[in-house]
Amino acid sequence: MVSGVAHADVVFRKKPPAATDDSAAGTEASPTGGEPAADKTNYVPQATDEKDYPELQAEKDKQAADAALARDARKAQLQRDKEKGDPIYKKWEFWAVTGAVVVGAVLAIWGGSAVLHQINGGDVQPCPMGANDGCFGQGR
Amino acid sequence: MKMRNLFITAALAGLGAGCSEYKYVDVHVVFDPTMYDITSTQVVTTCQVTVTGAASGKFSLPQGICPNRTNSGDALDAGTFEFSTFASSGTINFQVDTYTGQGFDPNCITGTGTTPVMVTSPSMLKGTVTIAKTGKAACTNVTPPTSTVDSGT
Repeated sequence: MVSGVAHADVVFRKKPPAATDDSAAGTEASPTGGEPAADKTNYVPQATDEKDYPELQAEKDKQAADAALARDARKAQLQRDKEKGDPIYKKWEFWAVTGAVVVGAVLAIWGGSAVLHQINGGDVQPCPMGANDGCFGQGR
Repeated sequence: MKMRNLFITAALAGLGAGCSEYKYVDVHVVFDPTMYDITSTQVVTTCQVTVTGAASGKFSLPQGICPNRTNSGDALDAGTFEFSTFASSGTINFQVDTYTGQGFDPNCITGTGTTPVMVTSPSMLKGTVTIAKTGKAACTNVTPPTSTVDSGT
């Protein structure tokens, strides 16, 4: 069921008088007083909906595009602010690089000391059983 | 490419030149059987080794082994010691001095022996030191002095 308010314009008009020969006298249809009625064919039409629609549409499109641009700019600004505002230790890249550096340093120290130890002769051999006087010299 | 190969070769050569390798010298110590017997070796209280040449060091051999007081084995056999060194060439001299009495008074050296060991490519080297009497007999650290103990040998 359609709901709404019904509206109707009611115009009351006088019945036109019967035609007479008294053309000199003014009639209701063509009154004599006042200025003559303007030529009905010489009017300037007001703007019609057909002509308004493309401009409105273009205006609406332009506003929508501007709004989208503004929204994107705002979003980008927020993202930049977020990235700029975060402390470096809250970024995963920081911990990835830090972890890699720490692991690398440990491996370098461990490997370097092992290589250095090997360069310096490595481990001295244990004292043999036959050396009943003992073992002396470098590494002992 | 040529420069890179040259660099790698130089680096490896440098690394190789910097590497050290242990050499082990096993030195057998014996008393000269023509000069010592089981009694005369017991006068010795300490055997001191002095290493010179391509390597250096000074240490004493354990009492009881040099001289042999274990009541087993050869009384003139003073045992074997092993000396480790990074020396890769040259000659290492091992000198063993036997002392009587306490301390290391040069006047109390009763015997001495030395052996040179050439350092060659094998990592295990051997040498033998034969201790001979020095003839010195002026040690006053013992009672009676060694002049009376060693006389006649």
